[in-house]
Amino acid sequence: MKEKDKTDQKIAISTRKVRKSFGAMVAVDEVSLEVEAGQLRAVIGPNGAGKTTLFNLICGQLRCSSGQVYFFGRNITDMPLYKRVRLGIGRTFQQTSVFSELTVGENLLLATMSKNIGKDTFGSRGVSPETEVLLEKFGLEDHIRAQVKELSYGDQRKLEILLGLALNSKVLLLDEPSAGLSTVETTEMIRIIETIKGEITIILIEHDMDVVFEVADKITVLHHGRVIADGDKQAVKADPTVQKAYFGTLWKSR
Amino acid sequence: MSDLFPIQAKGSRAAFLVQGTKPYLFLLAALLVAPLAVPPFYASLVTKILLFAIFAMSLDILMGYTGLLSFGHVVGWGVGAYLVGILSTDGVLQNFWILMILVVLSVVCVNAILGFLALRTTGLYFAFVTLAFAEILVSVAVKWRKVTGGVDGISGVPRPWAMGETSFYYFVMAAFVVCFFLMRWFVHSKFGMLLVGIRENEARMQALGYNTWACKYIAILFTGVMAAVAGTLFCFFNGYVGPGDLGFGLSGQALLMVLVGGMGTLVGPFVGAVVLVLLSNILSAYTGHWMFILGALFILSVMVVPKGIAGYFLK
Amino acid sequence: MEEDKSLPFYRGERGSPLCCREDFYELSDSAWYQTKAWVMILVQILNGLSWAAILFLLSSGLCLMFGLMRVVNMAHGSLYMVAGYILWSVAAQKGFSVGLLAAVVSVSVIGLLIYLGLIRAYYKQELKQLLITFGLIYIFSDLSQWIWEGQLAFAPKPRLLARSVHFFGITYPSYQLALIVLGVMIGVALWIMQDKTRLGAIIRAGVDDEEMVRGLGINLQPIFITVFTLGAALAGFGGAMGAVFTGSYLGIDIETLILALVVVVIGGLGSLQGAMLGSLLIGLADTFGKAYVPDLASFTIFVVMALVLITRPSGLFRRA
Repeated sequence: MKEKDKTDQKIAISTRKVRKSFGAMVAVDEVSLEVEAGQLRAVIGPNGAGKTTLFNLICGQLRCSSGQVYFFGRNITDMPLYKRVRLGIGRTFQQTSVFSELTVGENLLLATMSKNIGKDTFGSRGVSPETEVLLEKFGLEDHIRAQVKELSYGDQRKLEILLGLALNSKVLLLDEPSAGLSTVETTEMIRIIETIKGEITIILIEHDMDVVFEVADKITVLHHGRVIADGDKQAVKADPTVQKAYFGTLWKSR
Repeated sequence: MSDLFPIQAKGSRAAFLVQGTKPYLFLLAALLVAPLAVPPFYASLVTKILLFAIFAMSLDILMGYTGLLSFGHVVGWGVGAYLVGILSTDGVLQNFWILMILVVLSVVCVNAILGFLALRTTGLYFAFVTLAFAEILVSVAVKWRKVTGGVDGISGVPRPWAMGETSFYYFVMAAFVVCFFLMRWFVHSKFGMLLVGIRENEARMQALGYNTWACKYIAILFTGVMAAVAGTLFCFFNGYVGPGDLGFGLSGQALLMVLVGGMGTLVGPFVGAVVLVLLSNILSAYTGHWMFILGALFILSVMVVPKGIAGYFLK
Repeated sequence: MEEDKSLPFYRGERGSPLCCREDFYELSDSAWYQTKAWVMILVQILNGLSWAAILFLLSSGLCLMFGLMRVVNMAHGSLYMVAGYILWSVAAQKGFSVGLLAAVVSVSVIGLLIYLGLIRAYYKQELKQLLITFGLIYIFSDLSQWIWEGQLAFAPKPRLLARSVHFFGITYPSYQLALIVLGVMIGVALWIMQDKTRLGAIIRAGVDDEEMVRGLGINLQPIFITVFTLGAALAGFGGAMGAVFTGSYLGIDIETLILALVVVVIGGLGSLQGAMLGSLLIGLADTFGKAYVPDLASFTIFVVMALVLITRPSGLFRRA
């Protein structure tokens, strides 16, 4: 039964006590969080805290051992990955996984095709016009016919996010978008995130605290699979448990 | 343009179907003329090549394009051949078109089961499950003497419409052309692109919203039907079907054709079929150790020419 | 000796490796028909267990090779066949023990050569290994046909185990009981080696993180060679012991390969416990199937495999 509760329309993603265990090891331990529509939520935590596992649970790459996941009030706990993607959850990967042998245009074609898979599936292939608009926004329009492996690493990361947008995702899960980027490219990445922020809901995993504090509306901190802090930037910064978890080493106040 | 999806189509659907086929006109002409120009023995050799080519090319769609190493492809061939053998001898059913409809339906059913079970696994396990499935069917064929003729198989299968050599040759040739265009269209369409995407990075394709299981399943069903067409015609060709049409030896030969010819190029397996049928014909006359050579060729082609003959030219 | 086809088992037809020899059960015709049903079932269970022991020898070899080295060997069934033939040839002149030794040693050497020549070069390329060893099947098949001319080769039982044992109202060959015991012993030995010894720990670490192990100064090559040879030896041992009651013939390489592969699919390639449980299931299923519904041939195996795939696709033991 779809819950038509008004407040649920405002909550893009909600997890209720989701738990994921691999045998004896518990990767995510009863995490409940609510991300409002249009918000940018950063999920941070030391290595092995369970951030990527949580991502995988939300987007559907992994099944929860227990707990539920909701998308705009709809229970998607048992939905497989590709169905959630069609509903409107997109994700990027930490290691660039765009198809490097294809051109940029063809990658985007793949992304835009999946919604219309019934029509013209056995038809010929062409490059779709909607992708051109997106490319311009990202400054990649010159590269539409370039093979992805010819692009710089930063441009490839941009393409990752672009694919998520091309899917018309309402919720985008960004997995360490600035990983491996230079300072200049990171600034560019921040700019891009700022442009798409607000139109869609974004959940962000990041290690780069500059990016986090620049773009995040709210921050959730994970440690050993549990939420140890959840709130706005100032609150999280000042939280002693968070500082303890990081041992103060990654923590540089701006 | 890119390496993975070489075809960008323009124009109407008909144009899309025949695009890029000009070089094949020459081959078509050669095939048309063959029975008139060469002694009948060679015509029958070409028939054999064409049928194996259909079999190998459809295997390539599964292996080369979708990335599914399946030893169960031979099930389509064998089930088709056996159905035809069982039904058309003893005069039970000789109407060719009804037979073919039954064959297609049965093969789709069998492959539906095989696909469902095998796709519960991936990679090596997938190969194992398909191999086990095929061999289990072999043992059923051997044990069920009453129906399948056991180890000896079924002989005396009549040709449809009692066709003579030449008419049968043209019949097979027509079937080959139809199948070739069907397979070509399958891989060059958007769906074919999805299959290659699945081969390259299945998780990514799922993250783009594609039901990859369904795509793989469709590929298995389609290629199974192609294999069945080849197997049925082969049974008519030989007038015989036996457990070898389900087994291991046939699987290996088709696999070798794909490897030698070039995986992931539709034309490669055709080249592989030509090479292998000719080789087996020539060598069988000199030595009884064709199996040994087959095995050795297998190993050599994996080690020395992993891309296959056509692979080197096209990629 | 005439074959009585009214009995549930009869020998000679290929595709039924559990065909038995008349002297195997030492039950006279009348004794057979007087046997109570539960006694027959007990006999079948024992048959199934001894077949499971042989399957375990085969599939544990596969498991070891893959779980510890990520190596796939499709020619495993061929090793079984060759071992059986060697035992048959040698035992005829030199007796069972010498034959057994010859079989195991030869097959181990063959395994070693396969590894050094063909597999080592393709470390972690499972697909290529699969294809290469697949090609080996044809080669071994052809060579066996050439050397042994495709005969149906039943090796003679060793004198020590030629008698039958009486218990619970049945007469059961001690050879098969010995097989069961051997199977259990080897299973325990392998388990100890894998979980409790330093060698096992090194191997498991080597598969997970090769660079670390190398960084610790441990050379993995001799270990890999040992493991592969051990796997081949197990297959050889299984083939030799099995040659006594399944016989060795052309086609048994595929039959046993399929059974071993099904065991591995059910149990999981890397898991020794999976191989044990899988061998048990398949051994029993195959035996009961061939005894009670021989017309359906390997269908019982198919049913077991299908059930496992439907309910637990990652194998009974989720690992590797």
